[in-house]
Amino acid sequence: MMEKGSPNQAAAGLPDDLIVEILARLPAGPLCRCKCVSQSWRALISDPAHRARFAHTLSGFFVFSRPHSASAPSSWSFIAIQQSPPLVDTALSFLPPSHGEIDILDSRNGLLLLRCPGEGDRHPCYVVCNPATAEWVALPQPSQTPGQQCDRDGRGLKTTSAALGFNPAVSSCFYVFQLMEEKWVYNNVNVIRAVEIYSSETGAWISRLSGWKDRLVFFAGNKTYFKVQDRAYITCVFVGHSQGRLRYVHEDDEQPGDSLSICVLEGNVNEEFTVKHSVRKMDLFGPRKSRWPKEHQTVAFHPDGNLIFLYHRPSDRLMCYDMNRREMHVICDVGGVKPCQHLFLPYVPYYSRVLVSPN
Amino acid sequence: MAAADSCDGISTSGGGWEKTVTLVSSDDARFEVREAAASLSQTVRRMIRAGGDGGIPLPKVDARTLSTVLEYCNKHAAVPAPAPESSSAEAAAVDLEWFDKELMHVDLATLCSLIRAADYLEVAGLLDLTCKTVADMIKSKTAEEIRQMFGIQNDFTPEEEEQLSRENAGVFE
Repeated sequence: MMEKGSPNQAAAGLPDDLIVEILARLPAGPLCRCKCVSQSWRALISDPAHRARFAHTLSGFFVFSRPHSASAPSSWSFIAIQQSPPLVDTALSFLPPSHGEIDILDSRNGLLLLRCPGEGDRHPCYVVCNPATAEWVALPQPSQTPGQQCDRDGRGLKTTSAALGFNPAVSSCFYVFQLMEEKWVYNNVNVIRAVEIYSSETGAWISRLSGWKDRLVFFAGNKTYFKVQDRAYITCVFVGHSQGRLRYVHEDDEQPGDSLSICVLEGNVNEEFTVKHSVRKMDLFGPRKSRWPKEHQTVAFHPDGNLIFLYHRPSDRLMCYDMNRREMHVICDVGGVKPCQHLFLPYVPYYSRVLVSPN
Repeated sequence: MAAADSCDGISTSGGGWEKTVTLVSSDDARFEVREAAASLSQTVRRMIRAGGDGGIPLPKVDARTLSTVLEYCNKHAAVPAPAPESSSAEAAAVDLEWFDKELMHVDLATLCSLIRAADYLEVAGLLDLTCKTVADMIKSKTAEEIRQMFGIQNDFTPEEEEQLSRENAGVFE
Protein backbone atom coordinates (compact mmCIF):
# COMPACT_ATOMS: atom_id res chain seq x y z
CA MET A 1 0.00 0.00 0.00
CA MET A 2 1.19 3.48 -0.75
CA GLU A 3 1.46 6.11 1.93
CA LYS A 4 -1.36 8.50 2.31
CA GLY A 5 -0.71 11.75 0.49
CA SER A 6 2.28 10.45 -1.48
CA PRO A 7 2.02 10.53 -5.26
CA ASN A 8 0.25 7.48 -6.51
CA GLN A 9 2.76 5.64 -8.72
CA ALA A 10 0.33 3.70 -10.90
CA ALA A 11 -2.05 6.64 -11.21
CA ALA A 12 0.70 9.21 -11.83
CA GLY A 13 2.07 7.44 -14.86
CA LEU A 14 -1.17 6.92 -16.78
CA PRO A 15 -0.55 7.86 -20.42
CA ASP A 16 -2.62 10.63 -22.00
CA ASP A 17 -4.83 8.31 -24.05
CA LEU A 18 -5.94 6.53 -20.87
CA ILE A 19 -6.54 9.85 -19.08
CA VAL A 20 -8.77 10.70 -22.07
CA GLU A 21 -10.60 7.37 -21.60
CA ILE A 22 -11.40 8.37 -18.00
CA LEU A 23 -12.33 11.98 -18.82
CA ALA A 24 -14.59 10.81 -21.66
CA ARG A 25 -16.79 9.17 -19.01
CA LEU A 26 -17.36 12.36 -17.01
CA PRO A 27 -20.41 14.59 -17.32
CA ALA A 28 -19.82 18.15 -18.59
CA GLY A 29 -19.66 19.79 -15.15
CA PRO A 30 -16.92 17.68 -13.54
CA LEU A 31 -15.07 17.60 -16.88
CA CYS A 32 -14.96 21.39 -16.89
CA ARG A 33 -13.52 21.36 -13.35
CA CYS A 34 -10.81 18.97 -14.55
CA LYS A 35 -9.45 21.75 -16.80
CA CYS A 36 -8.13 23.32 -13.59
CA VAL A 37 -6.04 20.26 -12.63
CA SER A 38 -2.98 20.98 -14.79
CA GLN A 39 -1.80 22.45 -18.09
CA SER A 40 -1.64 19.00 -19.63
CA TRP A 41 -5.17 18.07 -18.53
CA ARG A 42 -6.49 21.37 -19.84
CA ALA A 43 -4.75 20.78 -23.17
CA LEU A 44 -6.24 17.26 -23.41
CA ILE A 45 -9.75 18.53 -22.70
CA SER A 46 -9.42 21.39 -25.20
CA ASP A 47 -7.78 19.30 -27.92
CA PRO A 48 -10.02 19.24 -31.02
CA ALA A 49 -8.95 15.61 -31.62
CA HIS A 50 -10.83 14.53 -28.47
CA ARG A 51 -13.82 16.86 -28.80
CA ALA A 52 -16.20 14.25 -30.12
CA ARG A 53 -15.55 11.99 -27.12
CA PHE A 54 -16.18 14.52 -24.35
CA ALA A 55 -19.41 15.77 -22.83
CA HIS A 56 -20.20 19.38 -23.68
CA THR A 57 -22.36 21.92 -22.01
CA LEU A 58 -24.40 24.99 -22.86
CA SER A 59 -22.24 27.28 -24.99
CA GLY A 60 -24.90 29.88 -25.77
CA PHE A 61 -28.22 30.63 -27.40
CA PHE A 62 -29.41 31.00 -30.95
CA VAL A 63 -31.83 33.92 -30.73
CA PHE A 64 -34.47 34.09 -33.42
CA SER A 65 -36.26 37.46 -33.49
CA ARG A 66 -39.53 38.00 -35.29
CA PRO A 67 -40.71 41.63 -35.34
CA HIS A 68 -44.38 42.30 -34.58
CA SER A 69 -44.64 44.25 -37.81
CA ALA A 70 -45.00 41.85 -40.72
CA SER A 71 -43.02 44.10 -43.06
CA ALA A 72 -39.84 43.99 -40.97
CA PRO A 73 -37.62 40.98 -41.63
CA SER A 74 -36.95 38.38 -38.99
CA SER A 75 -33.36 37.88 -37.91
CA TRP A 76 -31.21 35.68 -35.75
CA SER A 77 -27.96 35.86 -33.86
CA PHE A 78 -25.88 33.80 -31.45
CA ILE A 79 -25.26 34.83 -27.85
CA ALA A 80 -22.23 33.05 -26.37
CA ILE A 81 -22.23 32.47 -22.61
CA GLN A 82 -18.90 30.68 -22.34
CA GLN A 83 -15.76 32.77 -21.93
CA SER A 84 -13.95 30.65 -24.48
CA PRO A 85 -16.51 30.06 -27.21
CA PRO A 86 -16.34 26.70 -28.96
CA LEU A 87 -14.97 26.51 -32.48
CA VAL A 88 -18.39 26.34 -34.04
CA ASP A 89 -19.69 28.12 -37.13
CA THR A 90 -22.61 29.78 -35.33
CA ALA A 91 -23.16 32.03 -38.35
CA LEU A 92 -24.20 28.85 -40.23
CA SER A 93 -22.11 29.97 -43.20
CA PHE A 94 -21.73 26.33 -44.27
CA LEU A 95 -25.35 26.34 -45.49
CA PRO A 96 -25.90 26.95 -49.21
CA PRO A 97 -27.02 30.53 -49.96
CA SER A 98 -30.73 31.00 -49.49
CA HIS A 99 -33.04 33.46 -51.24
CA GLY A 100 -34.94 34.77 -48.26
CA GLU A 101 -35.07 34.46 -44.53
CA ILE A 102 -34.17 31.27 -42.74
CA ASP A 103 -36.34 30.55 -39.70
CA ILE A 104 -34.62 28.80 -36.80
CA LEU A 105 -37.30 26.67 -35.18
CA ASP A 106 -35.63 24.42 -32.63
CA SER A 107 -32.34 23.27 -31.14
CA ARG A 108 -31.79 19.88 -29.53
CA ASN A 109 -28.53 18.39 -28.22
CA GLY A 110 -26.40 20.05 -30.87
CA LEU A 111 -28.71 19.87 -33.89
CA LEU A 112 -30.76 22.77 -35.26
CA LEU A 113 -34.07 22.63 -37.09
CA LEU A 114 -34.43 25.33 -39.77
CA ARG A 115 -37.15 26.23 -42.22
CA CYS A 116 -35.66 27.47 -45.46
CA PRO A 117 -37.71 29.62 -47.80
CA GLY A 118 -39.12 28.30 -51.03
CA GLU A 119 -37.95 29.60 -54.36
CA GLY A 120 -40.13 30.09 -57.44
CA ASP A 121 -42.55 27.17 -57.38
CA ARG A 122 -40.61 25.34 -54.67
CA HIS A 123 -42.18 25.15 -51.23
CA PRO A 124 -40.33 26.03 -48.00
CA CYS A 125 -38.54 23.01 -46.59
CA TYR A 126 -37.03 21.78 -43.35
CA VAL A 127 -33.29 21.54 -42.94
CA VAL A 128 -31.55 19.90 -39.98
CA CYS A 129 -27.96 20.98 -39.43
CA ASN A 130 -25.08 20.49 -37.02
CA PRO A 131 -23.08 23.74 -36.67
CA ALA A 132 -20.19 21.91 -34.92
CA THR A 133 -19.51 19.62 -37.86
CA ALA A 134 -20.92 21.91 -40.59
CA GLU A 135 -23.22 19.14 -41.79
CA TRP A 136 -26.76 19.70 -43.02
CA VAL A 137 -29.54 17.68 -44.56
CA ALA A 138 -32.75 18.84 -46.28
CA LEU A 139 -35.80 16.77 -45.39
CA PRO A 140 -38.37 15.52 -47.89
CA GLN A 141 -41.69 17.41 -47.86
CA PRO A 142 -44.35 16.42 -45.35
CA SER A 143 -47.94 16.17 -46.60
CA GLN A 144 -48.66 19.73 -45.41
CA THR A 145 -46.34 22.49 -46.62
CA PRO A 146 -44.13 23.82 -43.80
CA GLY A 147 -44.77 27.34 -42.52
CA GLN A 148 -48.30 27.86 -43.84
CA GLN A 149 -50.77 30.07 -41.97
CA CYS A 150 -54.55 29.78 -41.61
CA ASP A 151 -56.39 31.96 -44.15
CA ARG A 152 -58.00 35.29 -43.18
CA ASP A 153 -61.21 33.63 -42.08
CA GLY A 154 -59.23 31.32 -39.83
CA ARG A 155 -59.76 28.32 -42.08
CA GLY A 156 -57.16 25.81 -43.13
CA LEU A 157 -54.23 24.30 -41.31
CA LYS A 158 -51.39 26.20 -39.72
CA THR A 159 -47.97 24.53 -39.87
CA THR A 160 -45.65 27.16 -38.43
CA SER A 161 -44.72 25.17 -35.30
CA ALA A 162 -42.21 22.37 -35.52
CA ALA A 163 -39.83 20.72 -33.09
CA LEU A 164 -36.77 18.52 -33.19
CA GLY A 165 -36.18 15.31 -31.23
CA PHE A 166 -32.59 14.11 -30.86
CA ASN A 167 -30.85 12.35 -28.01
CA PRO A 168 -27.44 10.92 -28.99
CA ALA A 169 -27.26 9.03 -25.68
CA VAL A 170 -30.19 6.93 -26.91
CA SER A 171 -29.84 6.89 -30.68
CA SER A 172 -28.14 8.71 -33.53
CA CYS A 173 -31.54 8.99 -35.20
CA PHE A 174 -33.41 12.33 -35.09
CA TYR A 175 -37.08 13.20 -35.39
CA VAL A 176 -38.90 16.28 -36.64
CA PHE A 177 -42.41 17.02 -35.45
CA GLN A 178 -44.63 19.32 -37.51
CA LEU A 179 -47.79 20.41 -35.74
CA MET A 180 -50.98 20.87 -37.78
CA GLU A 181 -53.05 23.45 -35.96
CA GLU A 182 -56.42 24.96 -36.73
CA LYS A 183 -58.48 27.76 -35.23
CA TRP A 184 -61.02 26.63 -32.66
CA VAL A 185 -64.21 28.32 -33.81
CA TYR A 186 -65.62 29.04 -30.35
CA ASN A 187 -62.81 31.03 -28.77
CA ASN A 188 -60.41 31.60 -31.65
CA VAL A 189 -57.50 29.70 -30.10
CA ASN A 190 -55.40 27.18 -31.98
CA VAL A 191 -55.83 23.50 -31.38
CA ILE A 192 -53.50 20.76 -32.57
CA ARG A 193 -55.33 18.56 -35.04
CA ALA A 194 -52.50 16.25 -35.94
CA VAL A 195 -48.75 15.95 -35.90
CA GLU A 196 -46.53 14.79 -38.72
CA ILE A 197 -43.38 13.02 -37.57
CA TYR A 198 -40.22 12.54 -39.62
CA SER A 199 -37.71 9.88 -38.61
CA SER A 200 -34.15 10.04 -40.00
CA GLU A 201 -34.03 6.26 -39.66
CA THR A 202 -36.86 5.62 -42.12
CA GLY A 203 -36.39 8.89 -44.05
CA ALA A 204 -40.18 9.28 -44.18
CA TRP A 205 -42.99 11.26 -42.57
CA ILE A 206 -45.88 9.64 -40.75
CA SER A 207 -49.02 11.39 -39.56
CA ARG A 208 -50.67 11.03 -36.15
CA LEU A 209 -54.10 12.43 -35.35
CA SER A 210 -54.42 14.15 -32.05
CA GLY A 211 -57.14 14.59 -29.52
CA TRP A 212 -55.23 17.29 -27.64
CA LYS A 213 -57.28 20.28 -26.63
CA ASP A 214 -54.52 22.15 -24.92
CA ARG A 215 -51.78 24.17 -26.46
CA LEU A 216 -48.86 23.28 -24.24
CA VAL A 217 -46.77 20.48 -25.60
CA PHE A 218 -43.08 19.87 -25.37
CA PHE A 219 -40.68 17.25 -26.52
CA ALA A 220 -37.88 15.85 -24.40
CA GLY A 221 -35.63 13.19 -25.83
CA ASN A 222 -37.81 10.47 -27.23
CA LYS A 223 -40.69 11.23 -24.91
CA THR A 224 -43.44 13.76 -25.25
CA TYR A 225 -45.02 15.38 -22.23
CA PHE A 226 -48.21 17.37 -21.98
CA LYS A 227 -49.24 19.69 -19.23
CA VAL A 228 -52.89 20.60 -19.13
CA GLN A 229 -53.52 24.02 -17.75
CA ASP A 230 -56.56 22.99 -15.83
CA ARG A 231 -55.87 24.94 -12.67
CA ALA A 232 -56.47 28.67 -12.74
CA TYR A 233 -53.46 29.65 -10.67
CA ILE A 234 -50.99 28.20 -13.11
CA THR A 235 -50.43 31.18 -15.36
CA CYS A 236 -47.32 30.00 -17.09
CA VAL A 237 -45.47 26.74 -17.27
CA PHE A 238 -41.99 26.35 -18.69
CA VAL A 239 -40.72 22.79 -18.81
CA GLY A 240 -37.18 21.57 -19.43
CA HIS A 241 -34.36 19.23 -18.48
CA SER A 242 -31.44 19.92 -16.18
CA GLN A 243 -28.92 17.57 -14.59
CA GLY A 244 -30.92 14.57 -15.73
CA ARG A 245 -34.13 15.77 -14.08
CA LEU A 246 -37.32 17.15 -15.53
CA ARG A 247 -38.06 20.64 -14.17
CA TYR A 248 -40.67 23.29 -14.63
CA VAL A 249 -41.09 26.91 -13.67
CA HIS A 250 -44.28 27.74 -11.86
CA GLU A 251 -45.36 31.36 -11.56
CA ASP A 252 -47.85 32.63 -9.06
CA ASP A 253 -48.85 35.94 -10.60
CA GLU A 254 -52.02 36.29 -8.61
CA GLN A 255 -50.51 35.61 -5.23
CA PRO A 256 -49.25 38.59 -3.23
CA GLY A 257 -45.72 37.11 -3.24
CA ASP A 258 -45.65 37.18 -7.05
CA SER A 259 -43.09 34.40 -6.95
CA LEU A 260 -41.30 32.14 -9.37
CA SER A 261 -40.78 28.52 -8.29
CA ILE A 262 -38.60 25.86 -9.83
CA CYS A 263 -40.14 22.41 -9.45
CA VAL A 264 -38.21 19.20 -10.00
CA LEU A 265 -39.29 15.67 -10.78
CA GLU A 266 -36.96 13.64 -8.55
CA GLY A 267 -38.00 10.15 -9.58
CA ASN A 268 -39.74 8.79 -12.65
CA VAL A 269 -42.54 10.39 -14.63
CA ASN A 270 -45.27 8.99 -12.40
CA GLU A 271 -44.01 10.73 -9.30
CA GLU A 272 -44.85 14.21 -8.05
CA PHE A 273 -42.89 17.35 -8.72
CA THR A 274 -41.38 19.01 -5.65
CA VAL A 275 -40.59 22.70 -5.26
CA LYS A 276 -36.80 22.99 -5.32
CA HIS A 277 -36.38 26.74 -5.24
CA SER A 278 -38.62 29.75 -4.87
CA VAL A 279 -37.84 33.42 -5.37
CA ARG A 280 -39.86 36.65 -5.48
CA LYS A 281 -39.88 38.29 -8.92
CA MET A 282 -39.33 41.58 -7.12
CA ASP A 283 -35.94 40.21 -5.97
CA LEU A 284 -35.06 39.16 -9.50
CA PHE A 285 -36.09 42.16 -11.56
CA GLY A 286 -36.78 44.93 -9.04
CA PRO A 287 -40.11 46.75 -9.01
CA ARG A 288 -42.32 46.31 -12.08
CA LYS A 289 -41.50 48.82 -14.79
CA SER A 290 -44.56 48.46 -16.97
CA ARG A 291 -48.14 47.30 -17.01
CA TRP A 292 -47.28 44.40 -19.27
CA PRO A 293 -48.82 41.29 -17.83
CA LYS A 294 -45.56 39.43 -18.30
CA GLU A 295 -42.36 41.40 -18.11
CA HIS A 296 -40.12 38.38 -18.47
CA GLN A 297 -39.85 35.11 -20.30
CA THR A 298 -38.18 31.94 -19.02
CA VAL A 299 -35.55 30.99 -21.58
CA ALA A 300 -33.86 27.80 -20.38
CA PHE A 301 -32.50 25.74 -17.53
CA HIS A 302 -28.75 25.26 -17.62
CA PRO A 303 -28.35 21.58 -18.55
CA ASP A 304 -25.57 20.99 -15.99
CA GLY A 305 -25.79 23.74 -13.38
CA ASN A 306 -28.30 25.24 -10.98
CA LEU A 307 -28.88 28.20 -13.28
CA ILE A 308 -31.98 29.47 -14.98
CA PHE A 309 -31.96 31.90 -17.91
CA LEU A 310 -34.57 34.63 -18.16
CA TYR A 311 -35.30 37.39 -20.65
CA HIS A 312 -36.49 40.67 -19.15
CA ARG A 313 -38.58 42.57 -21.73
CA PRO A 314 -38.51 46.15 -20.36
CA SER A 315 -34.70 46.19 -20.18
CA ASP A 316 -34.27 43.89 -23.24
CA ARG A 317 -31.75 41.84 -21.30
CA LEU A 318 -30.87 38.18 -21.18
CA MET A 319 -30.20 37.33 -17.56
CA CYS A 320 -29.05 34.36 -15.56
CA TYR A 321 -30.25 33.47 -12.08
CA ASP A 322 -27.87 31.42 -9.92
CA MET A 323 -30.06 29.35 -7.61
CA ASN A 324 -27.15 28.30 -5.35
CA ARG A 325 -26.03 31.86 -4.60
CA ARG A 326 -29.46 33.45 -5.12
CA GLU A 327 -27.82 35.98 -7.45
CA MET A 328 -28.93 37.51 -10.72
CA HIS A 329 -26.42 38.25 -13.51
CA VAL A 330 -26.89 40.18 -16.72
CA ILE A 331 -25.55 38.31 -19.76
CA CYS A 332 -26.20 40.92 -22.45
CA ASP A 333 -28.61 43.29 -24.13
CA VAL A 334 -30.41 41.34 -26.80
CA GLY A 335 -30.98 44.23 -29.24
CA GLY A 336 -32.48 43.92 -32.72
CA VAL A 337 -35.55 45.48 -34.32
CA LYS A 338 -38.30 46.41 -31.86
CA PRO A 339 -40.88 45.50 -30.95
CA CYS A 340 -40.32 41.84 -31.61
CA GLN A 341 -40.68 38.38 -30.19
CA HIS A 342 -37.52 36.49 -29.32
CA LEU A 343 -37.13 32.75 -29.41
CA PHE A 344 -34.10 31.63 -27.39
CA LEU A 345 -32.73 28.23 -28.33
CA PRO A 346 -30.08 26.80 -25.98
CA TYR A 347 -27.12 25.32 -27.84
CA VAL A 348 -24.80 22.53 -26.67
CA PRO A 349 -22.22 21.62 -29.34
CA TYR A 350 -22.17 18.03 -30.56
CA TYR A 351 -19.01 17.13 -32.46
CA SER A 352 -19.93 13.72 -33.85
CA ARG A 353 -21.10 13.31 -37.41
CA VAL A 354 -24.66 12.05 -37.48
CA LEU A 355 -26.11 13.76 -40.54
CA VAL A 356 -25.59 12.42 -44.00
CA SER A 357 -24.25 15.34 -46.00
CA PRO A 358 -25.80 15.93 -49.38
CA ASN A 359 -23.57 15.41 -52.40
CA MET B 1 -20.85 -21.87 -12.25
CA ALA B 2 -18.39 -22.45 -15.02
CA ALA B 3 -15.14 -22.37 -13.10
CA ALA B 4 -12.58 -23.74 -15.46
CA ASP B 5 -10.83 -26.83 -14.10
CA SER B 6 -7.92 -27.14 -16.40
CA CYS B 7 -6.34 -30.41 -17.30
CA ASP B 8 -3.78 -30.74 -20.05
CA GLY B 9 -5.19 -27.88 -22.05
CA ILE B 10 -8.72 -29.24 -21.92
CA SER B 11 -11.29 -28.26 -19.34
CA THR B 12 -14.81 -29.27 -18.51
CA SER B 13 -17.49 -26.70 -18.34
CA GLY B 14 -21.17 -27.42 -18.21
CA GLY B 15 -20.47 -31.01 -19.19
CA GLY B 16 -18.71 -30.09 -22.45
CA TRP B 17 -15.06 -30.11 -23.32
CA GLU B 18 -13.46 -26.74 -23.83
CA LYS B 19 -10.11 -25.69 -25.16
CA THR B 20 -7.87 -23.76 -22.83
CA VAL B 21 -4.89 -21.52 -23.41
CA THR B 22 -1.97 -20.64 -21.16
CA LEU B 23 -1.20 -16.98 -20.48
CA VAL B 24 2.13 -15.94 -19.00
CA SER B 25 2.38 -12.76 -16.94
CA SER B 26 5.36 -10.38 -16.85
CA ASP B 27 6.54 -12.07 -13.63
CA ASP B 28 6.34 -15.52 -15.25
CA ALA B 29 3.17 -16.75 -13.57
CA ARG B 30 1.20 -19.13 -15.78
CA PHE B 31 -2.59 -18.99 -16.04
CA GLU B 32 -4.61 -21.75 -17.66
CA VAL B 33 -7.79 -20.17 -19.05
CA ARG B 34 -10.69 -21.29 -21.19
CA GLU B 35 -10.20 -19.99 -24.71
CA ALA B 36 -13.68 -18.47 -24.70
CA ALA B 37 -12.76 -16.35 -21.65
CA ALA B 38 -9.29 -15.43 -22.91
CA SER B 39 -10.78 -14.38 -26.24
CA LEU B 40 -12.56 -11.48 -24.56
CA SER B 41 -9.12 -9.95 -24.94
CA GLN B 42 -8.68 -8.96 -28.59
CA THR B 43 -4.92 -9.00 -28.10
CA VAL B 44 -4.97 -12.62 -26.86
CA ARG B 45 -7.44 -13.61 -29.56
CA ARG B 46 -5.03 -12.37 -32.24
CA MET B 47 -2.15 -14.25 -30.60
CA ILE B 48 -4.17 -17.47 -30.44
CA ARG B 49 -4.89 -17.12 -34.17
CA ALA B 50 -1.22 -16.53 -34.87
CA GLY B 51 -0.49 -19.85 -33.15
CA GLY B 52 2.62 -20.93 -31.22
CA ASP B 53 3.19 -23.01 -28.15
CA GLY B 54 4.53 -22.68 -24.67
CA GLY B 55 1.92 -20.18 -23.56
CA ILE B 56 1.08 -16.64 -24.62
CA PRO B 57 3.49 -14.10 -23.13
CA LEU B 58 1.92 -10.90 -21.76
CA PRO B 59 5.00 -8.87 -20.77
CA LYS B 60 3.03 -5.76 -19.81
CA VAL B 61 0.74 -7.36 -17.19
CA ASP B 62 1.83 -8.66 -13.79
CA ALA B 63 0.32 -11.76 -12.16
CA ARG B 64 -1.80 -9.87 -9.63
CA THR B 65 -3.42 -7.68 -12.30
CA LEU B 66 -3.77 -10.54 -14.78
CA SER B 67 -5.60 -12.69 -12.24
CA THR B 68 -8.19 -9.92 -11.74
CA VAL B 69 -8.54 -9.44 -15.52
CA LEU B 70 -9.09 -13.17 -15.91
CA GLU B 71 -11.61 -13.20 -13.07
CA TYR B 72 -13.54 -10.62 -15.11
CA CYS B 73 -13.16 -12.57 -18.36
CA ASN B 74 -14.18 -15.90 -16.81
CA LYS B 75 -17.31 -14.38 -15.34
CA HIS B 76 -18.30 -12.47 -18.46
CA ALA B 77 -17.57 -15.32 -20.87
CA ALA B 78 -19.54 -17.73 -18.70
CA VAL B 79 -22.79 -15.83 -19.04
CA PRO B 80 -25.24 -18.04 -20.91
CA ALA B 81 -27.43 -16.45 -23.56
CA PRO B 82 -31.03 -17.18 -22.62
CA ALA B 83 -33.95 -15.58 -24.41
CA PRO B 84 -33.80 -11.83 -23.84
CA GLU B 85 -36.37 -10.38 -21.44
CA SER B 86 -36.76 -13.75 -19.74
CA SER B 87 -36.48 -13.75 -15.95
CA SER B 88 -33.23 -15.72 -16.04
CA ALA B 89 -31.67 -13.15 -18.40
CA GLU B 90 -32.62 -10.43 -15.98
CA ALA B 91 -31.22 -12.37 -13.04
CA ALA B 92 -27.98 -12.99 -14.93
CA ALA B 93 -27.67 -9.27 -15.70
CA VAL B 94 -28.23 -8.37 -12.04
CA ASP B 95 -25.68 -10.98 -10.97
CA LEU B 96 -23.13 -9.64 -13.47
CA GLU B 97 -23.68 -6.07 -12.34
CA TRP B 98 -23.15 -7.12 -8.72
CA PHE B 99 -19.99 -9.01 -9.70
CA ASP B 100 -18.60 -5.95 -11.54
CA LYS B 101 -19.30 -3.72 -8.57
CA GLU B 102 -17.51 -6.10 -6.19
CA LEU B 103 -14.55 -6.39 -8.57
CA MET B 104 -14.16 -2.60 -8.53
CA HIS B 105 -13.78 -2.47 -4.74
CA VAL B 106 -10.04 -1.86 -4.99
CA ASP B 107 -7.71 1.10 -4.46
CA LEU B 108 -6.84 3.63 -7.14
CA ALA B 109 -3.41 2.11 -7.85
CA THR B 110 -4.99 -1.27 -8.60
CA LEU B 111 -7.67 0.39 -10.73
CA CYS B 112 -5.04 2.18 -12.79
CA SER B 113 -3.09 -1.07 -13.28
CA LEU B 114 -6.35 -2.64 -14.46
CA ILE B 115 -6.99 0.25 -16.87
CA ARG B 116 -3.51 -0.21 -18.41
CA ALA B 117 -4.02 -3.97 -18.63
CA ALA B 118 -7.53 -3.66 -20.12
CA ASP B 119 -6.16 -1.21 -22.68
CA TYR B 120 -3.16 -3.38 -23.59
CA LEU B 121 -5.22 -6.58 -23.67
CA GLU B 122 -8.12 -4.80 -25.42
CA VAL B 123 -10.86 -6.00 -23.11
CA ALA B 124 -13.42 -3.33 -24.02
CA GLY B 125 -15.91 -4.12 -21.25
CA LEU B 126 -13.26 -4.00 -18.52
CA LEU B 127 -11.75 -0.77 -19.88
CA ASP B 128 -15.18 0.82 -19.76
CA LEU B 129 -15.89 -0.50 -16.26
CA THR B 130 -12.56 0.64 -14.76
CA CYS B 131 -12.59 4.07 -16.44
CA LYS B 132 -16.18 4.64 -15.30
CA THR B 133 -15.16 3.71 -11.76
CA VAL B 134 -12.29 6.22 -11.75
CA ALA B 135 -14.55 8.85 -13.39
CA ASP B 136 -17.04 8.32 -10.56
CA MET B 137 -14.24 8.86 -8.03
CA ILE B 138 -13.22 12.12 -9.73
CA LYS B 139 -16.75 13.43 -10.22
CA SER B 140 -17.26 15.11 -6.89
CA LYS B 141 -13.62 16.06 -6.20
CA THR B 142 -11.96 19.47 -6.39
CA ALA B 143 -9.03 20.11 -8.74
CA GLU B 144 -6.63 19.94 -5.78
CA GLU B 145 -8.02 16.58 -4.63
CA ILE B 146 -7.67 15.22 -8.17
CA ARG B 147 -4.03 16.42 -8.29
CA GLN B 148 -3.35 14.50 -5.08
CA MET B 149 -5.05 11.39 -6.45
CA PHE B 150 -2.90 11.36 -9.57
CA GLY B 151 0.27 12.90 -8.12
CA ILE B 152 0.04 15.91 -10.45
CA GLN B 153 1.81 19.23 -9.78
CA ASN B 154 -0.26 22.38 -10.09
CA ASP B 155 1.57 24.14 -12.94
CA PHE B 156 -0.80 27.06 -13.40
CA THR B 157 0.22 30.63 -12.64
CA PRO B 158 -2.06 32.44 -10.17
CA GLU B 159 -3.36 34.54 -13.12
CA GLU B 160 -4.28 31.42 -15.09
CA GLU B 161 -6.03 29.92 -12.06
CA GLU B 162 -8.00 33.12 -11.62
CA GLN B 163 -9.00 33.02 -15.30
CA LEU B 164 -10.06 29.35 -15.10
CA SER B 165 -12.15 29.84 -11.99
CA ARG B 166 -13.86 32.80 -13.69
CA GLU B 167 -14.76 30.58 -16.65
CA ASN B 168 -16.42 28.07 -14.34
CA ALA B 169 -18.01 30.62 -12.01
CA GLY B 170 -21.60 29.96 -11.16
CA VAL B 171 -21.93 26.88 -13.31
CA PHE B 172 -19.71 24.13 -12.04
CA GLU B 173 -19.07 24.65 -8.36
